[in-house]
Formats: sequence, C-alpha cells, structure tokens
Amino acid sequence: MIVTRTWLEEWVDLDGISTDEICKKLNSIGLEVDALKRIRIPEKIVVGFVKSCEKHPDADKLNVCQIDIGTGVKQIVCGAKNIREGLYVPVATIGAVMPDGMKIKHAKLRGVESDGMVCSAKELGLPAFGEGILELDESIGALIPGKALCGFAPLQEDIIEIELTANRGDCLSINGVARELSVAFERPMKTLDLQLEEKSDLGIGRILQFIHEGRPHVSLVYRAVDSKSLTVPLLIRLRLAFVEQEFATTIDAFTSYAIHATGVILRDYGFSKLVQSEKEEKVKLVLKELPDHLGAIEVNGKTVSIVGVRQDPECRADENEHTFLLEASYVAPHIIAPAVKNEKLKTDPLYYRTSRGSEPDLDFGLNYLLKILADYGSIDIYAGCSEYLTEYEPVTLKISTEEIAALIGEEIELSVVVGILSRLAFRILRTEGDEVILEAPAFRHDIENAQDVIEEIVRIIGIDNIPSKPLCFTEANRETDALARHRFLRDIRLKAVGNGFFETIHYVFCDNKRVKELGFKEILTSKALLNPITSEMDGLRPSLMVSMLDSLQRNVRMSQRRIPLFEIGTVFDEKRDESLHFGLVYSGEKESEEVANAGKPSMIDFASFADKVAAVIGCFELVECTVQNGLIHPYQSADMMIDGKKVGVLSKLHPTVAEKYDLPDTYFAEIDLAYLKPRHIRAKAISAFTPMQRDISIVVPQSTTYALIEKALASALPAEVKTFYPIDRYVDDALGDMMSLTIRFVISSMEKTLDENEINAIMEKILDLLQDNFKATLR
Amino acid sequence: MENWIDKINAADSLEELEALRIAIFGKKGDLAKAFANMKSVPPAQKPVVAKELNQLKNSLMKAYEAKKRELEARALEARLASEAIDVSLYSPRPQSGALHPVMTTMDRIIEYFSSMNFSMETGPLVEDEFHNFEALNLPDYHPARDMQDTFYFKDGKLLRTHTSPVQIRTMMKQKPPIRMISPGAVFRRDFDLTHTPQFHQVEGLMVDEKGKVSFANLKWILEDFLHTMFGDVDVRFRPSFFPFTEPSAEVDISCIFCKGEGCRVCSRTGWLEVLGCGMVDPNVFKAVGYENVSGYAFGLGVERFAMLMHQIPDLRSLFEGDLRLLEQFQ
Repeated sequence: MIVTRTWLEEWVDLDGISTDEICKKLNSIGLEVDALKRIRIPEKIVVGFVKSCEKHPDADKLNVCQIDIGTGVKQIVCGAKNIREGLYVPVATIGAVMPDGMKIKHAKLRGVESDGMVCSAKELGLPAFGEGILELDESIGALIPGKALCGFAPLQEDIIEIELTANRGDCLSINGVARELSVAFERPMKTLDLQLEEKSDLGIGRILQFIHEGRPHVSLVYRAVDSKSLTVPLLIRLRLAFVEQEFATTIDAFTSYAIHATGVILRDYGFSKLVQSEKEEKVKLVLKELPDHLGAIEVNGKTVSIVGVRQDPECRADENEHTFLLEASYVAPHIIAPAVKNEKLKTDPLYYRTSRGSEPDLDFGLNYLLKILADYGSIDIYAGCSEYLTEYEPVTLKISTEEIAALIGEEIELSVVVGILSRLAFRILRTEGDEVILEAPAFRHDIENAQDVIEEIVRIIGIDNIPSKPLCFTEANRETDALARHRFLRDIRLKAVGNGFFETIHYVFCDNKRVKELGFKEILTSKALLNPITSEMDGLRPSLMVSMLDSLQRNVRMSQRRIPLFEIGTVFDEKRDESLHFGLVYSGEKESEEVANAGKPSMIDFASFADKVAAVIGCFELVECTVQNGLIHPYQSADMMIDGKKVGVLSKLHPTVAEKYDLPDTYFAEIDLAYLKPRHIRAKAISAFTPMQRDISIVVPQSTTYALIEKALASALPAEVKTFYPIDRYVDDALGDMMSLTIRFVISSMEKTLDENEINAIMEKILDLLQDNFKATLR
Repeated sequence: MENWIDKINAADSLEELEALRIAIFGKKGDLAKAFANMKSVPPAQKPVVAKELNQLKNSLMKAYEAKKRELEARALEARLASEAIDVSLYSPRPQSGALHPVMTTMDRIIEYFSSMNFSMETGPLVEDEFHNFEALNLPDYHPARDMQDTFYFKDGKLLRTHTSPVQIRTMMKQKPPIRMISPGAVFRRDFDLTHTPQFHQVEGLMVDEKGKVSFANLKWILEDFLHTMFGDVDVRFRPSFFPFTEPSAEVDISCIFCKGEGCRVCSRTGWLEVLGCGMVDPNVFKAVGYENVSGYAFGLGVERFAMLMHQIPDLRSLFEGDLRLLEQFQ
C-alpha cells in the first residue's frame, strides 16, 4: 500500500508533524514502512504559458514557442509533440539545475535562440507518465505564469510505501491509513464535503432495473451518471503515478483514484456495453446466487461479473461512453476467500482488496467518486440508487483489565482502554466494573476475539512502552531426547572437523533423472512432489552422496585438490520415509600441498579414508558390501558394521561417476544415524606387566578375506592375546594364487611377564588355528 | 711443564683435548712421569716439590675441565646448528575442517535456549496440512497457503514451511507447562537472490496456566537472547501480524554495521529485522485441545542470523559447499 503525504493531509490533520515522525509512528503501530521517497522539484522551474507555437524553420520536429514566464516572454525551442498554444507548462529557466544534474543554459538550436527548457514529468523527477511535456492544470493549484513549481503542494510529495500485513484490509486506502494516524497522533479526521448536486428530474430507474434471485451474502449499490466532458486532471494522474496505479480509460482513472482513497470496491460499466441495441433504454441487471453465498450479475443471460471476484472487461466503459453505471460492492472476506478457493474461481486485481476486507460503507465510496467526477468534469447524476444489501451482525466482545494485564504483563487502566478503543472506532456499549463491552467497527474484519482487541491496545500503547519481565517458571529437567541427540551429533560433527572434514548443507531436493541414473529408487509416483521449483529439483535425495556430488564438482572446478566434506541431513526412501544420514566424502589429495610432502601429497586411498571415518565415529568393522548402486565401486566397497549391525556403507566412488563429474579419486561413507549411538564404555583392567608383540606371516589363498581369519581367531584365541591386526599383505609371481599375510599379536598376562616358552606355546596355538581353518602355511 | 696450560687453552677440538689429556694425565703422561721423578728429589725438598707439583696438577685439571666444557658446548651448538630449518616454511596450514556457519549459529541458539531451560523437540520434514497450517490458524483460503509458497506432494502432504508444526505435535503429546524450541530445515517455493527453497528456523514456545505468561515475559527473553547473540544492540518491537499469534510483533535490532546510522545492509533505516513473535492465538490452543492457558511463541531464520553475524554476502553460497567459503570458518 502506497500513500502520499498531501493525499493523507486531505483526510487527517497532520500539521506540524514531519514525514519522518509519520513513518516512525506507522512502524510503531504495526504498519511497517518499507520505503520513503521524497519528490522535490528544483528551484527556478516555473509555470509558463505558451502564447504561441510555430514550426522551427530548419527542423521538422522542433517548435519555436513564445512562453510567458511571469518575468517576461521567452523564446524556447521545444521538441515535444504535445506542445501547443494555450498550454500551461513547466519551464526550467536559465540557471535551473535539473534533478539529473543537468544545468539549463542559454542555447541555440539549429540557429534559433532558446532561453530555457519545457519539461516532461520525468525530467522534473516525477514518475514518467504521459507522452511529451507535462501539461499543467489547476487541479494542483492556481496557475500563474512565473510561479515556482516547488510552490505547488502536490508536486512536493513524500511517498510512503507500507508493507501491510494480511489482516489489515482496512488500511488498503488513504482513508484507512489516515484513520490509524488520527488515532496514533490523537489528531482529528477532516470532514469531506461530499454534497452532490443531483439532476432531480432523471431517476436511476429510467435506465436501470436491478433484481435479485436467492440470498447471496453480498452488498451492492448502483449509481448512474451521464457525462458531457471528462478528462483526467493532473492531480489524479500524478497521485495514481505516485502510488503506482495504472489506468486504462478516463473513467478507470477516477474509479481507481476513489478506490485508493476510500477503500470501497468500485467498478464502472458502460451503459452501451450492457444494452443489446441502441434502442434499448433500460438495462436489466440480475443478481443471482452462486454456491458458497457468492453472487453473480447477469445481463441478458450473460454473466458480467462475480461480485467481489472479477468483472468481464468487455462490459467496462470505453472513451466513447456517455452513460456510466457505477457499482460499489462488498463481500465479507470470511465469505469470499473460502468460496474462491473452493470454487477455484479466476480473480481480477481488485480481489486482493475484497479478500483482505474492503470498506463496507458503499455510499461513502460512491459519493466520493461522484464528487470527484463532478469536481473535475461536467456530469449529470441520476437521482437515487439501486441496491441490494446484506446485513452483518457486529462482533460484540467483553474484555476485562485483568485479562489485559495477564496477557500483556502490565496493568492498563480501564479509562485508557476505553479511550484507545473509542478512537479506533470501536463502539463502547457499556462498562461493568473492570470490564468493557464493545462492538468492533464493520471495517475491522480482523477483530474476532478478546485477544484481537488486546492486540489493538498493545499496538497503540506501543510495545516499547511495555516493560520486559523475566518469567518465573518451575524448575524441570528439560533435557529431551532431541537435545541429547543434538549434543551427540554435535560431538560427531566436531570430530569430523578435527579430522579435516568441512560441514556442508545441501538442498534435500535433487534431480530424479540423476536418482534413476545412479540406480536409486525414486519416490513412488503417488507420493512425488506436485510442484517442484525446477525440473532439476523434482525429487528428494535418496542419499546424501547424490547431492554432495555437486559440491565436489564445484570445488574441483574451483581448482581445489583436496576436498573433504560432510553433511548430516535427511534422506528419503521410495516410500518418502525420512531418515537422518551422516555422509563423509573425501576427494583428491590426502594432505594439502606443502614443503613437508614436497608439494606432491599422495591421493586418498581406501585405508586412509577408513581411518579418518573411524576417527570420527569410532571403531567399525568392514565386511563385504551388500549394497549396490551407481555410486559404489564393486571391488572397493564395504558394509560398515558396529556391534554386528550394519550401520552404513564405505566405498570408493565408482570411476564412471567420478569421470562424469570430473572428480579425482573419491571415497565416501554414508551412515544411517539411527544406528549410531553414544557408547557406554566399561573400562577393562590393565596388566602391570610389559606386553609382548609377535608377528606371524602365513601363506593363504588370495581369495581368503581377512574378515574370515579375524572371525576364526577372535572366537578361539587364548585370553593372553589382547589384540591382533594385519600389518602386511604381499603377493608375487612365486606365490602364484597365494598371498602372504602378516598379522601382529599383542600378548600379555595379568599375573606375570610371560617367558619365551609361554609365548611360543601361544603362537603355536595360533598357527594351529590358522592351519586348521585356512590351510595356512608358515612363510 | 707450564706450557701444557697454553696447549690446553689452545686446543680446538675435543679430540685434540683428549690427546692432551692422555699426554698430561695418562698413566704414561708427563704428570705421572713428574711424580715418578719425586723419588730422585732430596728428602728435604720433597714437601716443596710435591706441593708445587700438586698445585700444577690442580691448575692443569682446572684448565682441562674448563676447556672441555667450552668445547662440548661448542660441539652441541654446532650439532644444533646443523639441524636448523626455516621455520617460516612450516607455518601450519590447518588440516582440520570446519563447521558450517549456519550450523554453528544454530548450535549457539540451541545452547542459549537450553541454558534457559527450554527443551528441544524435532519433527518430520514431510508434514500434513493440519500440523503445518490448520492447527496454526491458517485456514485453507489463507494467502500463505498458496501453491506458490508451499511444496506439495501428490498425496496431499507437503514439505513443512516452518518449524511451527513441531509445536503443535509437542502440545498434542504433552501437557502444559511447555517450554521448548524446535530447530530445523524448512521449505518455501522461492528461489532468487535472497530466497532459497530450503533454509533453517528455530522456533520457541512457552505455555503455562492462563495469566502466568505475558508479553512482558516474551520481551524479556528475546531482548536477553538478542543481546547474547549480537552484543550491545538496541532492540525494537513493532506490532505485526501472524495468524498463529496475537498480539504479534516483529523484532528489530539496531544495525550492527552502521550502529543505527543507516547503511546499505539496513536499507538506511538503522534497523535490522531479525525475529517474529507474539502471544499464541487462542485458535491455536483450541486446535490442540488446550484450555485456560496462555503462552508466547517466536521464530527466527538461522541463515539470516549467520549472514549478519559473519557478514556473509550471498545466501545461496551457504548451500554450495564451496571450500573457499567454508575454509574461512576453520
């Protein structure tokens, strides 16, 4: 909603209040000021009267004008098409500095002297409207040649753009905003003189028959006028341009202006557009009831409008029209908004106002429109009106100062409450003790309950005037599972950071094409996104890695050689069920390039990546991979197991995908966080005696996985073997299909330092186990 | 014999000194010889010669020890010098990663409210109309429910447009008093310079018996919170409108860049909008079956906080995983 200062001043007394103060006040009462623009016409630009206008002898498109600028008649060359004798125009005199910085100097145009410049709206720093130079008229004030333009109030405008919240339909007009300022500044509203001179011998019944069928919940009032001459005065053009309101026809300019001023929904119909032939003297409008209590206007069986929703543009008056039918309408927002949604009705721009609640005082809107038509044009008004009205019960509410104090946290006296509410046009029915019983004004569609009324009081008192108070509340343990989980995950995130990974956030949206290509399942068609924002974001990611590919690619393109990323985020299965995943990915070089590695760090490999992941989430086992998708390298991938449960997958990125995204060697792990839980650790006793290390190198078939060996040993080893792990794997031609595997054992006893014989006995036992289970031979 | 002292003092290496030690103090050295010669000294002179000889031995020993210490120190210094490196070559390039600024901001917000004894609750991203809209006093013809703003699924479900449905779920599951926050990802169908289809919110809710929770309490906690996050700033409450709260307010802080003077970031207003809040609308309580309660609620965008606190210029860059941005938070 855009308002201008001089327009507001027609409605409310703002004398002595600066525009900055107005903006501050608007903000404090909940009408947020989005922008403030000041229009100032520079000095030395004056009213000029075009005494004569002749073609330039040497230039087709130029005119040589003699213009009276009060201090004398100046010869000025002007190129505008609309310059003509008898016009009042803005003239920038010698020495004037235009808003764009151009300085007006004496000039010679194709040999003709020119002493100034005739200005267009744009050149004056006004919104560009109309073609050519600005034609002045007396709607902005009396025109005297030589009078400075900066002396005309409507040309020195402050334009305030308000970002209205959805509940304040009552402020979608100059009147509405003025009403708020009147309350806030405790200044009176001005009374407008809307007395009309009606042509008494012609009644509206002569040309209009208005009947209704059913009981639609709408209100309509019709008036009619004959127009003899009508042009849009500068004041109206100017203000409509300031509030960014375009108009199609002359009558449209007047109705748009009246709507913006009063907030009443006004529409014009051309009489000739409604009758079937020129001979018809009367038009018959039928109001019909539609579903959900809406109403439609029909003429000769054709729908010309749905009240409050839209109007057939074909029936609007054009510039040749002489008889206008003017309609004011109102439909309560709680009726119209659900109805439009239910019936999926097409709407026109005025629906924005009706759906948020337009001004219900229809006569006021029509009278204002008729008044400006009469003021600026030559019209005859038909006597009387045709109407169909729906009465709405006013909302009656009761509130007590106790209730107010409880909600606000501050005592407000009843007299203050009553004062504020009466100024806001609430009808105070009576007060009882600390209670007040009141009726909300009809234009306040947003007032439904006591809390709505308290909001009004808070607004006018000003939230900044309510003291802040800490809340007293009962102690309670509020460490919920979600908070504990958040802290656990934050520890994991910090460990990931400590191990070199960067946290990322990716959209959950992804390209279904990619999902399919990578061998994941898309979300079932019946549950798919209905209105994706782009076709590349039409799916939801089945895995974090699917979206992390984009970040990897971006970083490679930005010449990064080492890209370790992680994300904790939601993924969706084909049934669209959510789970929280932890994805880690490492692409490229193992370390950053530096002197220590001679600028040639080695590439990340399976083992180093697995170590990094383990440093983040703790120990896990890697076993043969049971997952298949396009991301997974079939021969360098594994299921991650913790306590015998599969928690995720760790793999080299499939080379085909890596090539497609221009990625160097890349490894990733994706873990389902449902399986990752804080571990409760029970400490084991440690021995006082030095542990011994012994290595065994065995030869086994290359197909033997270490996981099998580990499993066989783990269940059968003597208690003295504290831990064991592989430290070398060796193959060569001599070994053929076999490989040599070296395993290190750490042996220690709680009772004593083991001697050589005891250790050898243990190692023999281990060797026996390996021979029995894997036909292993000692190397 | 005396010139041994000069020789010791002139020794230039530990090897040379060792050779001197053997020549002087060794079994076959000059001192041993001199003491052996004592036999031939007339008995009357013996005490004098012995005394002189012992004095000589002591001073030779002293010179030797001093020289040895000096040469050892010199050798150590030489060894250390040989190990010299240009330390400036090795100014560490941190090998650690970094948390995402949006996530650390969220962590900080969660820490504040959990230290104020708010519980934390989470909920699903895929929501239904009841929890996301209807229960929050957003009837189906409300402008905010436009298809333009919400991602819908073909089965009528939707991606939550705010974290408020978690409040509804919590209220339907628990009895008052409730004192909670719900952080998480939310989705709006909007994608331009200043909007991404996914962003993060933290919402708070406090509900207790009617009369116990007031707007004054809401003001207190938000002022305290904003001072914790942004330091010494002015906090301004502007009446506003949200369907689920009443009275509602938007909360501004004085611009942290220009200290309220007016700059590009604050659109020359001197104020930055950071929060929305209000007293819970009675219709919301009705929807979850609560009676005789009052409460406040507030919500904020985490990206906005992160961008303000770290002066990150481009919202969209937060979702690109570009290391050049992330590395700055190491």
